[in-house]
Amino acid sequence: MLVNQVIIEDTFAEAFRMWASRLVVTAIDRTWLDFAVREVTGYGTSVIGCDAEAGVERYLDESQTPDGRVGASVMFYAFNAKALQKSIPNRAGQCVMTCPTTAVYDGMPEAGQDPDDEDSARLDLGKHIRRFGDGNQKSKVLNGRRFWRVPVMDGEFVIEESCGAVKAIGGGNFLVTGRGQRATLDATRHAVEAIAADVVANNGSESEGKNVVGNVGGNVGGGGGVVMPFPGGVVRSGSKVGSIYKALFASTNDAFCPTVRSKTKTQLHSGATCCYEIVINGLNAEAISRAMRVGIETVCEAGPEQVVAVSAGNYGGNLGKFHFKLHEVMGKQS
Amino acid sequence: MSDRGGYILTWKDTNKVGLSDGTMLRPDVLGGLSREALGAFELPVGRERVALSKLFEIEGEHGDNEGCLTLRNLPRLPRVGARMASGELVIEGDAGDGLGASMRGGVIRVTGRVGDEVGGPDFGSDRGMVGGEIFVAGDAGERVGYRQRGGLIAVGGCAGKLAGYRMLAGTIVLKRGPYECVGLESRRGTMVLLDADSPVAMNATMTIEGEFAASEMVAVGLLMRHLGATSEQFVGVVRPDTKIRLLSLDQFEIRKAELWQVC
Repeated sequence: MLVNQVIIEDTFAEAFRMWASRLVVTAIDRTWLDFAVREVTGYGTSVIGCDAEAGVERYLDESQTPDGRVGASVMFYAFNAKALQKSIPNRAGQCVMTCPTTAVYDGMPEAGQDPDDEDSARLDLGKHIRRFGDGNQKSKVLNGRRFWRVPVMDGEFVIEESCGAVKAIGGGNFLVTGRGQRATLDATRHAVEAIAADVVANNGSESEGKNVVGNVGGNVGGGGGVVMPFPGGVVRSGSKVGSIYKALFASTNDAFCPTVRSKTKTQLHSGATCCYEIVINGLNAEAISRAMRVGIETVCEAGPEQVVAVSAGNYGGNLGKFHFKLHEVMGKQS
Repeated sequence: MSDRGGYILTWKDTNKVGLSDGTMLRPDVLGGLSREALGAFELPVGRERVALSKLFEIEGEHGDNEGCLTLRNLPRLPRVGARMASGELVIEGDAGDGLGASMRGGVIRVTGRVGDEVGGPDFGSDRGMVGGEIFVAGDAGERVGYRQRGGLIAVGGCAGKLAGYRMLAGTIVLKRGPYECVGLESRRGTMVLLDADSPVAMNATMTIEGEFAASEMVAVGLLMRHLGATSEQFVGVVRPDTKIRLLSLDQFEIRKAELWQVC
């Protein structure tokens, strides 16, 4: 398959069941919001080595947040709800509470309300962090949601008592192989930006009115969002399963490494000297599929002078439950 | 105002009798009943019990938003929505004393005025409302939120004296002054006084913690946004640069009761 003279390989991205949670972080202005968001999504690229995979889903204006300040919806992914439970309060306490003027809200207020629902869960968020207030903490219940007010040196840190978590999908991806670092990286980065813009455009209309003012916190975007947890949304060290070293269960994806072409079963086309991967975690298969399509379309716009082929990372199909076939993803275009 | 669904009960002007108690007039009791069962539901009148259909005109269909109940043209009936646990109760017009007494959850909205002890204790209880939200568009009587233990009461008009008297926790928002003896003997909870022209009279149990811009107190933004989403009366009342004076009440005891005065 060719799109704008760029080869789309007949392969598939293999993705996994993960659990996702969403927080809405607000602050006095965009500068301090950015500081908080940078911290709370930091060290959150891959669960191979991090407690969670984290990224910004979208930024929110004053009309879209519970307290009327600028905010960001941030998503966290881990293999199960228990892992999220360990990770999220730590991140909220160390990364957001410490940042001037911030507040944290549940971005999935509907999730986990039904104890019989096995596809969602409720996590403790401010339930323990409130004790930082040393007895001076107070709470407010609005619309059935409890918000803790912890006195801090610039006023109060407001954090919601609990947050929702849902079953989601991690590891949707595609690989961009191109002619040199600069050319390949530029094309890949444009794709990341296009996917992020599509998340906003796709969810914008839903989030107006319905989720925002009428419901404290709201279910931002109404679901369907994706995050790309790697630096700038781009991974350069894609991995394969297994290693020659017994202790390691993942190692470099050498089939796409240009400097060891002759020593491995390379999958790089002639002329391709660089490969980048975009990893997409999303709440459902449709969201990931849509993001992959938008991303691949954007990559292909760069043309064959920059990009040689688009492929995807998989492990033979035995590990991940979700397969995103590139040709099918692109076929949904028309 | 009635496209929200649910049953609409209109008090008949021709009634010669008066209901003595409105406790059963709540969505979590009546909302799920079939029309026949609703009409046959017995309400206390004096020492007798009278079928609801004799006292009220019934509109609405069974199954159409069971969580909502609308009451119209009520006489000054005491304790409407008392001990209500869930759902939405809309009162078009006025209500009597003890509205939402010992209420546990759900929302009550009143378009008119209400009597004394909104959200106060029901008979046999020493605690007022513990959860849920009450919005009164008009004026309220004395002792709003008497012994309130939780939840939110917002009054769009004026409130009588002793609002928040012996309050245990929760939130009371009073849009218009004057504010007479508010939050007296309260232990925890928040009194929010939005009328800058009616400063609260200081007494010995109050301490001024400081003055802050509304934007500096995130909880103020959170509360006002929630109120504004529920009732237009509260839209634009507090702007980000509005000055809020924060007072602690009851400084000799638990010191957790607080008062926010717009100034």
